[in-house]
Amino acid sequence: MRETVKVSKIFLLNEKFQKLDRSLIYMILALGLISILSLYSIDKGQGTIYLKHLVRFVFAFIILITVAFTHVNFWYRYAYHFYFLILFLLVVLKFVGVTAKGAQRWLDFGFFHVQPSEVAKLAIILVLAKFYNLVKVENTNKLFSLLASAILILIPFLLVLRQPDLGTAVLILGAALGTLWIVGLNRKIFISGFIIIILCLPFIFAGMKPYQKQRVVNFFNTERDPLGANYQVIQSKIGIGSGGIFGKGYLKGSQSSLDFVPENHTDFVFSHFAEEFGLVGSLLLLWLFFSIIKRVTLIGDQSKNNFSKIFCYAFAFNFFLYIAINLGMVTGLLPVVGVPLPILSYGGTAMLTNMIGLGIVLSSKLYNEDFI
Amino acid sequence: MKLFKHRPTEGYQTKTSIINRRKAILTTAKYTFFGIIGLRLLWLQVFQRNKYSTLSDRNRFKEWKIAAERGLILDRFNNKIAENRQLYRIALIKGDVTDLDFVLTTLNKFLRLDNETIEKTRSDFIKLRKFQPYVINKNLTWAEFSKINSNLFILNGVQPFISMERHYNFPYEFAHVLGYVGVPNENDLQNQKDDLYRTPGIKIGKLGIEKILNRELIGTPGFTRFEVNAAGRAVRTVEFVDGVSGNALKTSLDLELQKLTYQKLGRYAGSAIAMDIKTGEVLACVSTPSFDTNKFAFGITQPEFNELLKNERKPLINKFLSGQYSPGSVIKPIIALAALENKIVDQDYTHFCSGKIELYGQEFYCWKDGGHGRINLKDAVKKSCDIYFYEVARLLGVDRLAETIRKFDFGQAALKDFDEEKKGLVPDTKWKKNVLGKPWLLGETLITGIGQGYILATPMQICKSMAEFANGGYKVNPTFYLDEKSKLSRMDFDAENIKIINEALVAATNEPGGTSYGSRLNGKLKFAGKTGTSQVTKLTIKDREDNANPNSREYKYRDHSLFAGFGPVEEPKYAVAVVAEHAGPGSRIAAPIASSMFDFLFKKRISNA
Repeated sequence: MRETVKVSKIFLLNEKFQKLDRSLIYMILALGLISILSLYSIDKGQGTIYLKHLVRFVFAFIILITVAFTHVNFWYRYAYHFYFLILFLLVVLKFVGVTAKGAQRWLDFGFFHVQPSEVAKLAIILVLAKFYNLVKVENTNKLFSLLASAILILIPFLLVLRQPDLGTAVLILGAALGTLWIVGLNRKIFISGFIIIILCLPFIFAGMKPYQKQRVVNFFNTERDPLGANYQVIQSKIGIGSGGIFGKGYLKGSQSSLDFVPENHTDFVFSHFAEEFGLVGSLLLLWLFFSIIKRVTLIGDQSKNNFSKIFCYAFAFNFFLYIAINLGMVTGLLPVVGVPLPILSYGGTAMLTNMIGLGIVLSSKLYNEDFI
Repeated sequence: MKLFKHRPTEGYQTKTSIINRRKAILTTAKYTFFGIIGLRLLWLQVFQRNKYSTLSDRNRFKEWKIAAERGLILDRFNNKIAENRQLYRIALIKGDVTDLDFVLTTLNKFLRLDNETIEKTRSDFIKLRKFQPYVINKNLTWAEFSKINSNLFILNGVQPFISMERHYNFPYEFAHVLGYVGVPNENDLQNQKDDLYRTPGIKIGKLGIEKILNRELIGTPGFTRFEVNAAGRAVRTVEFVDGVSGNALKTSLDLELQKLTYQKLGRYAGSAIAMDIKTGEVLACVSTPSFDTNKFAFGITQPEFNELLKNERKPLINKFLSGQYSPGSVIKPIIALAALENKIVDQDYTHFCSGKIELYGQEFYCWKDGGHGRINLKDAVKKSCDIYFYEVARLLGVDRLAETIRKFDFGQAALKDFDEEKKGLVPDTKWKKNVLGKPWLLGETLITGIGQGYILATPMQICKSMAEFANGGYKVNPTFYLDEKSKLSRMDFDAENIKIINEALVAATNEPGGTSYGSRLNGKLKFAGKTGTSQVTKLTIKDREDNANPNSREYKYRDHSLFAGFGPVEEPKYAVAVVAEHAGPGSRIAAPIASSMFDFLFKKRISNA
């Protein structure tokens, strides 16, 4: 009897391995490889950034697999706990956070820094997915559920905005709105919401920090101050544009390697990639990102429970939002807000958050036959 | 709990269908945005690729130009008159200098820099861009250079280097012809279209041939192309391209003759020119007093420069081109030619000279007290009789005089490319009316006939006119270069008349009683020529009495001493003009100088040939 159980467990594990979404994992590994090679190329093999990133990626990948084999039910059950833990960290950050670049973003845990605002993006998706899984479909647009979700969204949003970290705050709001859209919130509410936001824009602008104002002004006036705040976008465009169709070749890019592009390891990492691999490489990378999003969406489609569906779709949207805002920013289509490119950009917390998110997606696939 | 249902089974399908529909709309949005990003990349990487590639290279590469070695300047026998020497110098590189004060005091210990240099370095240093080198304005000896080299470990940011700098082998002799080089100033930089002049350490021609042929001499700078990072620091050397030295320039000048001429002019302020009468090639041209062009090339100090500026004898003025003098009797051959050409007189016409003539209520004197008696054209030229030429000028009238004088290109630049060249002045009635607004006076015609009054000429013009007499009436274009072949074109004169004048000039030097008889050469080869003593101010009776001793007058009122001639007489080859300012009679000062120049030419250049 005991042996049977053991065999069935092994059989079960084997079955799970068979069911694991290999293509998504290969795509994630490809992205990780591209990321490490790019960071290596930016520093032309000097320094330790690419090695740190490699270690982080390996660590995050182990977590990804661990999360993948954890039943999605775990995340459903502890979604609220997770959410409040993040809120707690955001509040704690206010008092003991590490200040960098004029904002308190990091919590120092001694051996590593954590950016709770990054994790908040995941938390908001989880909490809304659970909330709307519980809400009856006819109550989705009722005032009570609207108010509840508004509170769930606004607390982390405002906390992050006050750090101040406009980019992450916008992404939290974006992820939340995406989730609300998926769960079927009335279009009229969205439309009136947008109108209200547009009416509030002047006040938001007035409340911005000077550097944030500068970025918005610069976005609408690209020729202004080419050596000042707009410098990064111009240099980034030079990097991308000079790559041409086939690129300058691996290790031959100069814009980021010679430090003309600021934030070259983090937000502007794509500029270096595009410089070395040109249009062909950039479109392939774009295709890889798009495939990941499609794959995540497909896993959502295959899932039988609504929590998994909502989570997959919302995570896919959030992933897309990162890519869209980052690429829009580095190609000069959108104003510069500090949004990293998922997995490709150097940065621990964002990597971890994305990998946990992808882990939950993989878990959704493994347990897609189960109802919650 | 009506709002919540722990395990939602009711309405489950509806919720899923809503979610699926909403997802589909989002997917469309994603496709759209990825499409936009794709198009944006296409635009940047394909359509704007060239623009961004250029910008990327401009970011990435910086060039450090290295001035090429300047072309040598040679005389007609390939002697070097301007060359380049290795100089030991040091530069400071801003980004690498950690402590400027320490570096300067240490350098001071080794090199004994003067305070001015230190202060200038300090103030210039602030204005520099990062990693831009600054060359300290001092030449080092080999000993100093090696001392700095062995102490480099304490001198952060000091870069010793060897550069090739212009050196003039005969700085005084050739100062005004060759000119000198110097660091380009703001004006030079603005007039320059390309960035050649921005080459660090480059020197450009500031005067004379160095300036005129700067482009040929300066060569093409070499460069080192560096890859720099955003901070401007050189990361690696990408390529090194050698410069091309400037072309060597062979001039028409004759070093030996130039040295001799400079020496003979000696203490006089003035100029002397020797010219080939057929080609117009200038063999020698000296202006005195002179200055040390090597000092200029390296940056003369203000006190030294002020000294030169204040000097009453004007060392900085190029006297053979910019000195304008009343030609005095040197003009007489041309006046005589005008008379013959206009058939006012012929060879046999005589006029009586009593030493003094009264015309238009004024007294006009001949230089010789008591006069020359009855005198014909040849003797009038030979003895330089003023009364004869007053008469000729009176008969011709100033406008016909001026016409002939102009045919010798007086009143216009003899060389085209020297900015400092003056044109001289040929007066006539129209000129006086237009410029001075006054009618011409007949007395002025008379003094124009002896090269006084308004008429002004440069030594170069005088020498050119003498060359044109000597070659039998062909146009001469003076030049400093050998490669220019000037076409011989006949001037609009009767060859017979030119011959008559030339014979008179031969007599003036080689027959007793001629004005330059005392300076004649006794060898087989002889020269011919006309003296001139041009008055700077109108002479008073007392001055005339004192004339025996010209030094009694204040320097600036003393007569200019002139001589213009050609030789050898049998087969003319060379023309010479000498002007010694405020030196006294032409026969006494200028003619002997010319004589020694002819002597050299006959002995060293003709017998050798």
